[in-house]
Amino acid sequence: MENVIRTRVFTTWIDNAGICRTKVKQGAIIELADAEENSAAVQKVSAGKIYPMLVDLTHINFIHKSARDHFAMRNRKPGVKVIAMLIGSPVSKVIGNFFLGINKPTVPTQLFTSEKKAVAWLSKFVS
Amino acid sequence: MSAPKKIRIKKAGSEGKKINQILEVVESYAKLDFNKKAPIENSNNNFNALAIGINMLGEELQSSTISLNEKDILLKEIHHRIKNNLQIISSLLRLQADQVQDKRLSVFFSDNVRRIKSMALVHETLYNSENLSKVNFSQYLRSLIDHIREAYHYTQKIDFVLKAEPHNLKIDVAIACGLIINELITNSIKYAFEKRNSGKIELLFTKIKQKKSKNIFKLVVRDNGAGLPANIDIYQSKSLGLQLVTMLTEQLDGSLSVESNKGTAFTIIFPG
Repeated sequence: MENVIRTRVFTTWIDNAGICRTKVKQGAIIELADAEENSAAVQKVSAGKIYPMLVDLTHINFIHKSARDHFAMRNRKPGVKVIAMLIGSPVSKVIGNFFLGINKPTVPTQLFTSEKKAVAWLSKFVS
Repeated sequence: MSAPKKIRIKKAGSEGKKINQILEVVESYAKLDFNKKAPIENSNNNFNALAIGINMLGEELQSSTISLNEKDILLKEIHHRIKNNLQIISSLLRLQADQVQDKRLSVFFSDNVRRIKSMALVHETLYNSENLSKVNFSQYLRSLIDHIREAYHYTQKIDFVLKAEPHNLKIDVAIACGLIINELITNSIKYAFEKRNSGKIELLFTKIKQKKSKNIFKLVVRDNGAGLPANIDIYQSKSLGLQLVTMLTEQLDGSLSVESNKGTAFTIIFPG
């Protein structure tokens, strides 16, 4: 892995397939500062390019509303093309569904329980 | 009304306790109290997922409730400002009326001051009420009659009778009705009791039926005065007041009928 950015609750990098990946740490409770830090990390690893993004939520514990609103990207330019959210645990399923229904990001977003399927979907958007 | 019985799970153990904690939070949300949160553990079981979902839902509901309250405050402020601006316009017209020598021109200004006031009262009624999108029409009618009585200097003893059912009307409907009533009552004060010492003006407002999703209302303005001249055609009248009445009735998609027998009665039927 090259150019990996580690913040309090996220690990973010661009993989060899041209997908921007961010992984939530085990038991993370995400606050607005974490969400903003993540956006800055995505911007830094992307270096001016716009990538499709895989967000691994499987180990998340909670995410506050201010952070959800930030990730919905309502009043800012989205730094990514599309988002695939990887879910698995009951908690990540609930949080993932909030992103599909209530805190909807402005770019196309889908939930996946299989990393393979998520990557296959994101690959269509790699340029 | 007695307080609703609380729903609780009697199942013993930690699962029963967790369900009851979640139920308590849901009950708080129903009372618009979003401070209560379901306890969250660092585990990935279904109870924790449910607690997290409920807490996140509470955050979203709280945010929506706050923005709804903010909208209400803003709407109240807008009605207040419209009312104030209309009041400034009518004050300017009143000042102008005081300066002109021509009696006809002075009457023209005063008539328009009353018309503007009837509209300002709709906004005043709105910002003083809980419902900011519909006008409590019986309350508005009371204010309108009080205003006309104060604004018009008449020498006779005129009794005003208001019989109004408590219904709410949309703002545009209330404004049109207010202007119509203002014209008809002013006409009665001006002409119905010219050679009399006393008189009575009645204002009736009722709902007569419900047609599909619309209510049908009846508004009657009646006096026991001299009655209309025998050959008058209200649709061809050159009086600005009557022209306004027919035009506004049309705007309301309503019907107008006039009866002149021991006084005059105008009846307007309109959907609202």
